[in-house]
Amino acid sequence: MHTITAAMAWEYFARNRWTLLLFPFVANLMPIFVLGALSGYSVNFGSKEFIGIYLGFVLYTTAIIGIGVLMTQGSISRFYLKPLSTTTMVNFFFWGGGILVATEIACSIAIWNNLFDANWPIAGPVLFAIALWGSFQPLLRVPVKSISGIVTAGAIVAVVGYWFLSRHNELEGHGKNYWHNISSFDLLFAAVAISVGYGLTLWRVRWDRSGRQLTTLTDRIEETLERWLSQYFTLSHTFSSPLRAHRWFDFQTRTFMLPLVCLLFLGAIWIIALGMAAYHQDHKIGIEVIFACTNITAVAQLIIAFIIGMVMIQGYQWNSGRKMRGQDQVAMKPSEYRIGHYLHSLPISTTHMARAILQSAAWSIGASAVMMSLSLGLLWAWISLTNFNMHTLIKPEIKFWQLAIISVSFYVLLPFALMNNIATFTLVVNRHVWLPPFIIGTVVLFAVWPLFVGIVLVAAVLGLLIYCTNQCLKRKDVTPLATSAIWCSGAIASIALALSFRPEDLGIASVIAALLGTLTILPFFSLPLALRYHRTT
Amino acid sequence: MSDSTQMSSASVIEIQRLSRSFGDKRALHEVSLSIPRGGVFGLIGGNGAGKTTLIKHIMGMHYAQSGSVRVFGIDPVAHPVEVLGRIGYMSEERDVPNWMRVKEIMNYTQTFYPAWDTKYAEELREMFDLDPKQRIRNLSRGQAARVCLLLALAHRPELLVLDEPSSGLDPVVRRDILAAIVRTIADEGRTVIFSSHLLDEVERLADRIAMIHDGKIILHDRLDTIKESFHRFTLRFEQPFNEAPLILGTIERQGAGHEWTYFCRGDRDQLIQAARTLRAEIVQESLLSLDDIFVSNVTRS
Repeated sequence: MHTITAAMAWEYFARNRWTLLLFPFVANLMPIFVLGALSGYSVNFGSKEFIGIYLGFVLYTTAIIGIGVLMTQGSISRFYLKPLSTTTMVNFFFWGGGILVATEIACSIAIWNNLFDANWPIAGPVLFAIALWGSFQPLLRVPVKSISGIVTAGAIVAVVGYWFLSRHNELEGHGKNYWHNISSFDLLFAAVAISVGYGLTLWRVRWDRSGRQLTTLTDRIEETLERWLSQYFTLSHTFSSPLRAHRWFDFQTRTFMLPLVCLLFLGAIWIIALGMAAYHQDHKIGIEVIFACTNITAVAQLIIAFIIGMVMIQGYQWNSGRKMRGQDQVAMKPSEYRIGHYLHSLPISTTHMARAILQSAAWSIGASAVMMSLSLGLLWAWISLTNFNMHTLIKPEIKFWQLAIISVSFYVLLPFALMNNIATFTLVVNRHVWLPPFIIGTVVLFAVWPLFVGIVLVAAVLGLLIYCTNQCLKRKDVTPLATSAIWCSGAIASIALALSFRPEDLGIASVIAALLGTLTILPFFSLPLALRYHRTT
Repeated sequence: MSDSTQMSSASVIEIQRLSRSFGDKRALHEVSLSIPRGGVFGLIGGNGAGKTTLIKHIMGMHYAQSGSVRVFGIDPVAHPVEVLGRIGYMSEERDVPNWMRVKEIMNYTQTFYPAWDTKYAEELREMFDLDPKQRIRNLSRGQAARVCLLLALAHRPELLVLDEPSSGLDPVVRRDILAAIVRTIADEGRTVIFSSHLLDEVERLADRIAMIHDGKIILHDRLDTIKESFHRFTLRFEQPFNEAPLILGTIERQGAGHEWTYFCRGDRDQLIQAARTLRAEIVQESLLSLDDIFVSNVTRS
């Protein structure tokens, strides 16, 4: 290796060969599917609905790609004992990651533009992504595991997010537009965010490397609170069955994030909306903010569902055969094994473990759905009380309750399918390297022949579902009665989703909706098999 | 009586011709091992020898690519609950959920073991000096190891499997507590299997040992039988040698000229007779330590 940076770059790319492909792939999956599904219809990319879809895609893609780069980079502390200057380390993580994020986002939007003639702007989202990446680095490079970290993260998202959304007039509720022109203010804003982020990251890493701890006031408050809470809230009861114990464990470890984020988002949205309505003395503004931001909450739910699915790797992963080869066996740190040994050595059947994971997912999504429904119910009450003309928000032929039912159904089914299928996929994928290129190929083909590939996909998922069901029945993972109930629910959901579109819109959109129904019930049968496969390497 | 029941009454673990590869790396090769019920069984070997892979097969965490593994006469991969419920396991990685408090992980783990002894668990907790309200992430490495040991012991398992138990434990805990626990369990007629690099520890605790090297069992017997069958002789020959002559059971020779030291395996009287046949005078004679036995066997392999 000629330079330290080249050596670090080699190590990074060599270690993350497949993962580096996985994250951009997942980030592009949903946009390509949705745009592919809509490609058969005459769509107006300039309409406010499409600007909303575009914003959702950009936020989703930025989050997934950013998380991907962060996860693949790993901890900066592993270089602390190497003869490297802190600046070199920080530069590699900060600028290297930033360039990767920017490139991946630019490429993603360019792909959408090329495949679907969208002509969406690229520079704005790239600037937003770099600014967001830079602002988050001080928090993430030396993780802040306290309430102050959550508060600061919320503040960063609020400020940078507001800047990005306001460029599209999203929060004003009218006259939405694409962000084609980057002004001097935008460049200045991004430059300040990146510079401050870089300076603080450098400072924090220097402190951390020299063994000093940064204790903020909130850390001290939290420490005191923690000591006080431990007097009263230490788990003192035992569980009545291993299934219940594992469900509690899975909820505490992974899935609690979903309702928590939903609560924080909705709480913040309502406070901001009520504040804006009171400030402007105009109900319309408040109602429009809530309506627009509820969709952003739904996108956030999808991102969290994706993370929860990926956490399966972190939590349940252990020394699979691949990692046992050669030097990896010696080089791996104990922390990289996570808790797989402990979990897999507990005398709980794989069937019960899978049921516990699915029940924990259902709990968390159920709680989020209740919060979403409550928010929509309150919005409906506000609209009714103020005689607000809701047709400025939705088309006259659609009733509010219909929209609410469809929305909540999607809030429930989409995260459930995403969370559990990603979890299943990640448990199996590292032993089948042909899977990612196969799926990437399918997505690319879908963009070209959406209806044909959509039908093939439904058939393939159905085939997989039949295979997994058969295996589960053979191994008695599920009873025939439960199997019938799950299949009936899946069939009803698939048909209802497919028919939720207007007769003139039936086509690829219905096929994709039916696919969602099938994917929702797939984990009931695929997860026990994947866990068993993973557990007994 | 069925075959499996007969097997389980005779031995706790029965491994037949077990082989396992990870990609092109062979981790275990044709391993056959029978571990009788009761006593302490030490599994010794260098880094990457295959100790942990063998233990994971016993725990049902790896399926047998070829050969078979039976624990209590049961296949641990096909019936994990039946097998794991009777085993206490402490992994080398000490990978318990670190967000839980000590008391929480005790309550959580208790659910999975019907035989969990709450009173004994509390006794162990006090003996290990663990604060029930402490989060595991705030414990030292040694304290975390004690938590793992507590969780492995509190349901009074029929079989205790300890993978490198000494790693992370300070010498006091290692000598006094771990040794006492291991001996108590063995004295109660239960079985302990532990792997270790620390041969003095194995020598102190184990009744039987298996030495594993490069995925193969190179030595397997009662510890005292093994120790009695390895000898070190220093011989003085009448004439000098550039290379000393071989005698029966020689593993290794060291020396020059008239005086040579032999590491041999076999019956002592036969070895002495062989030395006399070469007209050599026995200058010094001693038994080999486990450390010497390990090094000489591994070197020869």
